[in-house]
Amino acid sequence: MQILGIEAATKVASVAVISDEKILAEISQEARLTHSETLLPQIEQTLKIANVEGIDAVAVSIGPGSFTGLRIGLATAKSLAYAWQIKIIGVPTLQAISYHFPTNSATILPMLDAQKNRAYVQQFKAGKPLTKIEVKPIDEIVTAAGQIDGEVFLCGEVLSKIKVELPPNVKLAPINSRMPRAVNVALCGKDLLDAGEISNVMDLEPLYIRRSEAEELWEQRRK
Amino acid sequence: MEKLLTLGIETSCDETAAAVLRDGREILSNVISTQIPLHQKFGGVVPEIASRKHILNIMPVIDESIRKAGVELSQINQIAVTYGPGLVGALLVGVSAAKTLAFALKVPLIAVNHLEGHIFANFLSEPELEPPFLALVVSKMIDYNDFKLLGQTRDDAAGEAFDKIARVMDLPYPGGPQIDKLAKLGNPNAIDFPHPKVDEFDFSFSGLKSAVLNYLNSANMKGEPVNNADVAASFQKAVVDSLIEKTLDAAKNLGMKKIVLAGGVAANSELEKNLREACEKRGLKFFYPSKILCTDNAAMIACRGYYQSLKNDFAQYDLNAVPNLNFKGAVKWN
Repeated sequence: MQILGIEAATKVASVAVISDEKILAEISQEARLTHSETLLPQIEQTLKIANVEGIDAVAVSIGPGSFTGLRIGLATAKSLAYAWQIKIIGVPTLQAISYHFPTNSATILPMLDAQKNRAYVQQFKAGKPLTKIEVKPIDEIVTAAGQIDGEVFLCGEVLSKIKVELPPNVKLAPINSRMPRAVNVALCGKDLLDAGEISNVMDLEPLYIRRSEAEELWEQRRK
Repeated sequence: MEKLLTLGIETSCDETAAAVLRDGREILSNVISTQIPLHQKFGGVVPEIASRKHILNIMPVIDESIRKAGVELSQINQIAVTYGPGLVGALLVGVSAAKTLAFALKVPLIAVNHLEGHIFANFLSEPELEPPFLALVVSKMIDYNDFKLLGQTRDDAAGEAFDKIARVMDLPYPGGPQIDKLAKLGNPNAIDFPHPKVDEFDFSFSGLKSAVLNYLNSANMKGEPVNNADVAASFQKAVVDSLIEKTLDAAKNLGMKKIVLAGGVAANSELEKNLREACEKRGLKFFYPSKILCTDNAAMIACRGYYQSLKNDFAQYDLNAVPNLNFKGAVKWN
């Protein structure tokens, strides 16, 4: 079974093809911001390297993350699934990042930029969520991580914005395990697929968590 | 020769649209999913909300356009998509989908300018129409793929002025049709708003817009009653007069015998009526797209794309959205 993984939720653009127990090809980059220009050529290139007959499913990172990046990833993934008539799996981005650490012996805290010094955050062990996705001030997340039993790894994209000292049990993930990667999206997608969690190509949308600013302001004015 | 099927996709503002066209003129389907009700409470299009709706609607709209056309996706020969001008986040949904479909189906991709698409809507309404003709706003169409910009607005688009004034008058979004409706109840000669004067074939609407806003504000400050219908009628007359005068001048200068109306402004009933009358008086042929083809739609994008494909004008997979795309050969004003 061949799965194409697509990741465009952050500054990383990443595409991978996995086949059962193998990573056939992966291209990841954090060098250029314009996913709109780079993502499809990257998919073309990755498929060429993987050199497979056909793809059985496409797994796409659905956020939270950059609204525009997510929509580029989803429009691309949905169009592939629609044109090739294959399954599509929406993979939560924080969960896919947690796949860097397939362990029960540490708590994994992936964080993604939610603007204004806040982050989307969720706790994982062995790729399974322990909490719901929350939006919290970055330093508050770090300080609270000190209360968690055992070792904690912080990963994601806002680590450079941490201003408080790390509690003794809290470590920053090494750079090869911080950012989202398409191979993790594909692997997490395979697990979701095995659990019967297939998405619908017609109505799959990003996991925004936050509403648009216009809606927030409009609500505030009505109060 | 076998006929070409072009799938058109349009997501530049607040309509998610897809259409299938057989060769250049035959519409097999033209699906438009409008978001206007969603944006009304904000008094205008909210880009983030528009983008969210596009990503939700894009596949069902494309799928419906294929089914209504009575074809299979695999029969599509090429894909045309609006890449500008418009809202960048909104454009990117259509561009990403179109590029990927072109890649997955191994068919050519065509990048279409939304403004040019509006002109091409006339080919769909009027099977007999052929270039050369003069189009408002405002380009000289020499051949299907050879047209020249004669003039453009130096500041606000006419539609922007309509929307802004409608908002100040507390009319619901979108403002154009509201002012059009209200103006029918008013006297167009009640208030003498300044008619924009600009050299050559250019337009300017910011001065007129300010004059109308000043009029409304000062009446408001003095607590004087305002006849909104008269304001709407007088403002609309100033815009329409200016557009028609320039168009007729250009037609005379260039010896053009055919005039076509295009774009959102074309939906204004007063402009359509007056320009039609003025053309008839001068023995000019007047063309005007049907209502559905005046709004943002994908059939016109597919039509524009079809004629580009005849010239091998195709796009690559790194196509990006260009939010402030202008007509080819357009002059930038500072």
